[in-house]
Amino acid sequence: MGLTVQVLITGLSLGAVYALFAISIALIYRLTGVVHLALGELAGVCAFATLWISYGPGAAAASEERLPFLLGAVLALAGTVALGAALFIVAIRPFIRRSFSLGWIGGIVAAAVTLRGLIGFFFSGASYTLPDPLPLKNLGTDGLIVLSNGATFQARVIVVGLIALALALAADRVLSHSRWGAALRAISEDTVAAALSGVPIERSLVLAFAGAAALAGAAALLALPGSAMTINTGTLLGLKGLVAAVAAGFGRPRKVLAIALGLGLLETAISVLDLGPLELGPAYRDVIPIALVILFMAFRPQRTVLQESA
Amino acid sequence: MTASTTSASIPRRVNEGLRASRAEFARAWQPRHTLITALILLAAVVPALVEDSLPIRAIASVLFYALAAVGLNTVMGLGNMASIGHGAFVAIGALTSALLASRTSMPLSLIILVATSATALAAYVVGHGAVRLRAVQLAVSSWLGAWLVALFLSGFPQTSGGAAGIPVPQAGIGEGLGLSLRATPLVHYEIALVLLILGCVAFRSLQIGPVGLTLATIKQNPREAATIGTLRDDLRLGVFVFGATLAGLAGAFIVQLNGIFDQSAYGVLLSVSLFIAVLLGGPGRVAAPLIGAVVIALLPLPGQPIEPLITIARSGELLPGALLLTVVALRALREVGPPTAHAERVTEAAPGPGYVKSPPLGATDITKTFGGVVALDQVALEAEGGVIHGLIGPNGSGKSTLLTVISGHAFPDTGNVSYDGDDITSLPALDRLRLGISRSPQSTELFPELDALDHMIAARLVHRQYAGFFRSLFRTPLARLEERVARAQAMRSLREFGLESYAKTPAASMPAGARRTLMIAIAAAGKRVVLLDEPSAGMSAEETRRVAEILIRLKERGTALVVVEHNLRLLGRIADVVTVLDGGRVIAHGSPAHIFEHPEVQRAYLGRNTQGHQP
Repeated sequence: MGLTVQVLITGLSLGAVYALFAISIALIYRLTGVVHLALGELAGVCAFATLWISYGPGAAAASEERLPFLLGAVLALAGTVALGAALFIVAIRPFIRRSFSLGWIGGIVAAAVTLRGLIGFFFSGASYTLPDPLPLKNLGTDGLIVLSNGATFQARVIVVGLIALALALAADRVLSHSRWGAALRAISEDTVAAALSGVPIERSLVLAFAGAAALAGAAALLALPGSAMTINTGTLLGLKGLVAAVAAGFGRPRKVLAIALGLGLLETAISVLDLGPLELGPAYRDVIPIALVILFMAFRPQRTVLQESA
Repeated sequence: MTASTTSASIPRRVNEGLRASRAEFARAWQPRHTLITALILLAAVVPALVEDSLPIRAIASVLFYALAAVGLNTVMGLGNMASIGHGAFVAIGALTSALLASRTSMPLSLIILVATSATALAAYVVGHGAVRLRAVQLAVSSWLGAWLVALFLSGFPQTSGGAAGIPVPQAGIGEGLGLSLRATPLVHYEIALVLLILGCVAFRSLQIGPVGLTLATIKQNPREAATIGTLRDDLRLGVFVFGATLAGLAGAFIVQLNGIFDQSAYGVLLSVSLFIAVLLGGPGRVAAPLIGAVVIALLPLPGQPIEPLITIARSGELLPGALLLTVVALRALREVGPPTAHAERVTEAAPGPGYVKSPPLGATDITKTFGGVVALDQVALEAEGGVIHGLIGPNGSGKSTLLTVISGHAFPDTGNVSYDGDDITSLPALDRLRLGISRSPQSTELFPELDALDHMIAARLVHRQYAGFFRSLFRTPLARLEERVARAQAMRSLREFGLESYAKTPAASMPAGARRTLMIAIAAAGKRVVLLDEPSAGMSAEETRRVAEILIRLKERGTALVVVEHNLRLLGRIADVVTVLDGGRVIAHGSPAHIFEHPEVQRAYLGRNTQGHQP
């Protein structure tokens, strides 16, 4: 029972973070037909840039603060947003205009690898830790909460989960109620009709990529502090978001959110549960969901070659 | 002379045959072939002479990477599948090879065989799903696949050897099989060279044969590929598995060559660099992977035994990433110009050479509803060799639906379609194409980058027997014979339709009239029943007259024609019998003269008052 509660709380919190990536990926796919394969890398850049700005280049852990964490985070987030928009303009837009899919696939993969390369260039150590800005050490015992039924989890898990959930719902609300959201929905329904109705397509798309980068950066700053992060950390967040977005069929934000929460639960369950002969463990938590979604993509009953506009 | 030919002994005829093929060979031989042969010979011999002064091991591993890139080029360049996870197959081959070498005492030859087969099997399983995906989905799926393998390798050190790697003892090539050759780096180098050449030859064989043409039609216009019966997932699966097998083969050798399996060398960066290699050289060109592999060899990528692997893997992603960005940007510049030539839509139709009179085709009592809307209500239609059957009716009266039911692209709710006495009501469209029943769509659908000759060859692919994946790969005598026949038939069709001057012109640059005629020729190629949907729509009077001539010529050959047409004057001139549909029902049937005077036809179709008064 205690374990179940523990899995529920940790899993939902993790899933809420994934949802921030998944919602962005799904939205961008519906807007442009582009699958944002570099969103996790943008998140990684945001986290490492914060470390760099606030604590100095190559800082291993909580060394002296050069600038307040919050200021560093805001600057890094701004940079990430600009990077996200630039990535669209440089590596994607030239190709979607000519519907040359090999081109933007190459472009976005190149961007992902380059961003990883940038992080690796400045942070060549094995792992780094971003100090936790949230003052949660005072909750429970040294930040750990133990319930009467034995469930044990970090206090920050709940806070992170709630903030991420709030951000995801806010994103959904912006999309369904704001003027900008209406423009984006119009574009994803019918680009030509949207253009004829006076929707500023180009600007809306740049803003969408910038917004996706902002959500990704915010998710990283929310979820990553306090634990070890490597060059792969951001990438993994992006992959999980991609998995959730694919499993949700790149659908509407609420569906994506639900699937992402499910993915978080599944992963936590995999890493905690020990089913006797079928001994699972942390090593399986990354592998199994990805394998499942690959199989899901491959064997969904549908015939799509015909719909491909060459 | 005659006597000597007829009584020629078998050895003599063989001799003549040999001389003929030698002559053909000599004709096709060009100076660049001499150059390539010389280079290959040099590449094979020189390292053996100066073994000690060359980094043979490094060069051999670059050749193996080039082999993997040839595999990816088959998938990308021929199959038009954007796989950004091809390195995963290298990893599967490499891991299997390393595990077998470290945990069993198999000879090298057997290890390679098992590891390559394991990769092929994995690709076959994955490929079944992958070939059905659209380009974007395949990219996502393969990207996830590459990460899956990378995460598996780093997350399961008990299998992958972890940071220490799996040491691979050097095995004899054929221990236990009577071979005592040891696999030195030089031996690996020579093997790599041979495999690479074979890989390139195989790629080229596939490309110039029916497989390449089939895949080109799918790439350029999947809808028309479906119409002419070349939308074939089995061939896409074939090139996918073939490409993966080459990658697995390369991986299986690389670990043996390096003496270690280091899991960090088989991560996503390997997939990305293979992708760069092919993109650099231009997918679809034989030399693409070679150029790409050489460039990659000059980069500090993981997996190259020139430097310690792990440190470079960690810091070196910036360089390949930047290079790929540059390549992509260059591609973007090259792509500037006309936006992707997508076939302009013109309307088109008509038939081709069917020399044998077609047996009768009949549709009876056909009813077809779409969600409650009755499109066809107990409709009957007959087509017969040497007869042009006109089909008219207002918009939405069910004409096109009737054609799709006859061609097998839709199935009726009730009623039967029979051909030559056989019930073909539930026969799929592809099988009806093989029987010789084809339908030309209302819009002009061509393959923009293929020339007219290739269109005609492609139109008959569905009738070929020796055009499968393996016959194409090995270019068997039967396959080559059939290829020559197909080429001759295609050329003859072009001449018959007056298109021979466009034999080498891509469809995108042909004038509109020729494109329309080509559509008719495609629909008629090797077919006996030809269903045409508005052949004259959007045509000038002159072009319409030409279409009429072509249709009559086809009819005289015994082709059965069903022509949906709004141009009543055209139908009045060429049709032998006309059926009128209105609201999904046959309201009149008979000779054109009779039909056009029919009062109900005039009211329903021509909008005239039956009494002859002004409305």
